[in-house]
Amino acid sequence: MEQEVRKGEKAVIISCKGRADMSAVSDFKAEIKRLIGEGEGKFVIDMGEIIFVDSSFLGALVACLRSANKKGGDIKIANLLPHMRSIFELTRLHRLFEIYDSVEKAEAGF
Amino acid sequence: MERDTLTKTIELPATVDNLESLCSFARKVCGSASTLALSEEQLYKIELAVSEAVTNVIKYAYPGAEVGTVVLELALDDDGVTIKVKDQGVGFDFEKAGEPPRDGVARESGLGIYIIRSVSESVRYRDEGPLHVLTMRFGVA
Repeated sequence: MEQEVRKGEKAVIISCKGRADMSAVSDFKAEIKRLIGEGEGKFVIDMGEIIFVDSSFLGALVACLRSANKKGGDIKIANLLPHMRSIFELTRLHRLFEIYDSVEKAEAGF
Repeated sequence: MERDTLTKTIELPATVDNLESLCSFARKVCGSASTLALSEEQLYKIELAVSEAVTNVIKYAYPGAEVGTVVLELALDDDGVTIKVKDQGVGFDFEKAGEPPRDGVARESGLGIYIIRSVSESVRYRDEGPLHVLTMRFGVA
């Protein structure tokens, strides 16, 4: 999975591309940890170009959410494709993460 | 009555580097089966279940230094596909796995078998000699 980081007005935007599975977990968690270490806490994960997601990556999202919450921050999800959204619903993570249909709306949610 | 089946098999070392190859193999074989005409949603569910099953093997089957292999066997028939994921590792207690998630309790792991149960028509786990075999069935919707 490729991940591109940019700082928005209210949050850090992480745009993810490709497959979000076990192979993506360590880099993703390391990036969030690095950003939290720099004082960031509010994140928008743009999943518009994710073609596949499984429970390994969802677990990483939960771990990162916990880290962000400890710093008073949050993680919001943007641009989930229908198949991905159904996995969030299946695992009940749609109750844990706020999911928006655009990065702009997700950032405005902070 | 016996099903007329076409079987495709791949065996690779159980490493994270091979996860995408195994998932892609399953999607390609199922997607190219003209007699099945599986929908994109069904193909996604198959790829998801294979990813969860293979990830379990990669993470838990071979806890020692020596990495074993994972075998992916797909048997296609007129009504769907039966997928077997085989390893020669330590195995696990299938009956205790697959607890569904609960609202307000976020889990970082342990959802793989639950997802497989949810997206497949049926799933079972058996010891066959030295092999542990997870068998998943996906019918044509």
